Amino acid sequence: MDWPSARSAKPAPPRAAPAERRAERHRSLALRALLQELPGDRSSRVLELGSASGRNLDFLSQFASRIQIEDLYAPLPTADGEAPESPPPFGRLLGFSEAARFDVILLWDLLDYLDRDSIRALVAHLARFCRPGSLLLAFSSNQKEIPEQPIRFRFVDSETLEYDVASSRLRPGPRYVPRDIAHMFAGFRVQNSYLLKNGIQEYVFARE
Amino acid sequence: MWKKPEAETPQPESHAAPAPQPRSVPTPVESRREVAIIGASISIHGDVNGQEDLIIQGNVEGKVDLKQNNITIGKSGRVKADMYGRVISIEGEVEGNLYGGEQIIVRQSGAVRGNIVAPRVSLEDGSKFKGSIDMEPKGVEKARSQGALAPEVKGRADSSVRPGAEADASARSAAATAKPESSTARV
Repeated sequence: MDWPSARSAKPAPPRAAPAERRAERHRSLALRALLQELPGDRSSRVLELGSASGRNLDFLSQFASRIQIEDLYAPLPTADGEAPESPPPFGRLLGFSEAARFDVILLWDLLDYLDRDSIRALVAHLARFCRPGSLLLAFSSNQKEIPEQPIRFRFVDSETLEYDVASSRLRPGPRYVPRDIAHMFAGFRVQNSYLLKNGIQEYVFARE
Repeated sequence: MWKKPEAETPQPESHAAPAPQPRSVPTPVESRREVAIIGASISIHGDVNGQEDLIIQGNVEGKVDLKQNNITIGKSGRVKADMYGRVISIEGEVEGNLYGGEQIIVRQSGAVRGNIVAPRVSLEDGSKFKGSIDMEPKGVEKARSQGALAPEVKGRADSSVRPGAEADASARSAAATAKPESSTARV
């Protein structure tokens, strides 16, 4: 067998670089407004519909001693795939006990990855587990294209979020306008709304 | 009359480091923390309880009740059970509720589907978790007082893991004590 020795071997071609991850920061006025509403006694109960993150858990534990993490991102359809059911079976995906009540729900940018019927179904399901005054944080882009997958935000501080741009792949954005969104959030009122320079419309909804 | 014979109370021979020693100095065997291991090829259907730390590399279905001890679910560990421990560290997969008296850590390779009750919880980057996290200081005691520790499934096999039961040895002891009766773990 004629293996080249390490010394005589030609240098191996450089491996293809893994997909570059860039960390971007997002200054969120809605997040600041929401956090200002929370009591400082860790009594709030938070529903995180994004994925589990140690940093987010650490951050949220300042405000809440009970945090529900549901990672609703995972069952969502991608740009390439078809949704198995529309609207998704939120009653099964988010199978809370009837007694569960959340003070804060972090919806992030999930709205942009759901059609109108799905948003209505999700909002109706979440409303069952809110108290009057419960707050819901949501973002929606008015850009023609949005990232292929929902963004996994990480807390930096009370008004700054960070996220990785793992892929440059985009998909068409639904471009919901604020009036449409307000109609889809039956049982909630818009408490705060901010249009940022980057085309992100941020909302804090309050359960009526 | 009550003085023990000198031969029974070993004294340190070296006086170079006269550190004060408590009278009941643990022997080397006592001071070594006992760790039991459920090997990767072991499957247990039933309850696991005892008084020593436990590493689970195999499959467990039922309940793991080691409230005063540490539990580690290794990378190859697959557990479908409620678990009670002091510090619980997850590197494998768990489906069930976890009650940690001090801390619960979901490592990078870990995946948990269930509810966590512990005063301190750590999710490492890359870990997967779905469920609720309750970090109220007295959450574990509260859960206990609400009957979470009461046996909920009839006919569970009592498959206590014995000290030092490792790999093949544990296979024999587990097979001997764990009846092959299926246990419907509440998850």
